[in-house]
Amino acid sequence: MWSLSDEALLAGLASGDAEAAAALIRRFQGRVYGLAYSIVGDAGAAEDVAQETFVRAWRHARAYDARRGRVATWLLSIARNIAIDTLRVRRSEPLDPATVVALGGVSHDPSPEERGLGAAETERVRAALEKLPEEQRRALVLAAFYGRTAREISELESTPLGTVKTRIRTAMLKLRATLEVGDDL
Amino acid sequence: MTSDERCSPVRELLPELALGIATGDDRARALEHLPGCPSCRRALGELTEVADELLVGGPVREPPVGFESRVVARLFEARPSRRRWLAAAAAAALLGLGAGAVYVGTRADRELADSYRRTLAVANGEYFSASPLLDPRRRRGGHVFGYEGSPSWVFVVVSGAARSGAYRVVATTEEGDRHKLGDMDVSKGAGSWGSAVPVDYHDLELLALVPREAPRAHRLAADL
Repeated sequence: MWSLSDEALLAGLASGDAEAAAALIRRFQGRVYGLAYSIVGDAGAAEDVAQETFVRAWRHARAYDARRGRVATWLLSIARNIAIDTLRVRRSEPLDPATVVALGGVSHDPSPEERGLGAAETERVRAALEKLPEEQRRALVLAAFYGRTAREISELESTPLGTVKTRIRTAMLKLRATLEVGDDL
Repeated sequence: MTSDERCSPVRELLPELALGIATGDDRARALEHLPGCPSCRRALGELTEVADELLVGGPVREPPVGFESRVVARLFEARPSRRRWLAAAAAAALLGLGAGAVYVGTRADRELADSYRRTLAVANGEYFSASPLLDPRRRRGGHVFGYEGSPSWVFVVVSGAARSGAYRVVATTEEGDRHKLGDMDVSKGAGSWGSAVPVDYHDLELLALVPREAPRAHRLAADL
């Protein structure tokens, strides 16, 4: 089961195969839970988010389109959206920017599976993020992980809205170049 | 207004659009322009890919012990496990629909999954499945192959244990609704029948071959 591709396991989940579902969960639980925890900041809520992520993946697995992204990014997008919704319900006050997870400083204890699966990609993305100037990285992390709008980031960071927009845009373009995604903007 | 002049203000909006944080007004402006501009659409696609990739670089943390079993329990208490997927792969191979080598091993599995996906993509299908057709004493009497698509269809192959005669093909949904799908003849223990079905194959739970004249003891059924 471990040798199966992510897509094959997702197909198994879609069709109700418990073994495939368990293998898919084991493969991605560290990433999904880690992302959820970093956003909601609470173990119980993070587990709820992570569980709900796999339940939604199961419900919508048939809508997954491999041409539009990998299973990892699809699952993490689901997790991010659920976590952001959870955060909005749980916290009415703005997120303290001081508690924002700086990606470079997050403890990373990869599972045995993760060491073999996608670890190089993770490192590649982290390295690209770490190359960004701190203010760009903060703006981008608040937007990409926490779903904060440019105006919200502007208020959180006490920075003019135009500056925040420029930081986000510049950071995205740099990442696109570093990650070698197209070349036409 | 030149193409560049039209694109330039929209390009400014694309990073926020890709991150899903654009305001309603900005989204509306961009969406007005994008349908007619392949270049901006491509740029948005690339930035969306970047936004998705960012999540891969996020923190990793193992969940509390027992997480996997709790999720599996949640999944399968909502709907019983049917192990359709492995059966589906077998069906694709059996039907000769380009399933490729069914070997244990990463490459073969990937080829099989890829071939399976391509096969399904031809007609926007979602999956194939295969289920054994059993008599009341659990002896195998054939197979039911199913296809979830638009339309869904079933193909029944009887071999071995079935008594000769006319059979009614009846399907029952998960909600308990019965659908008479058609009639088939079995001769010398063999027969085949297939048809599109009036409901999603996914919603079917049981398919039965009910003898029209012989006792019900000769009924064959498959859990789908």
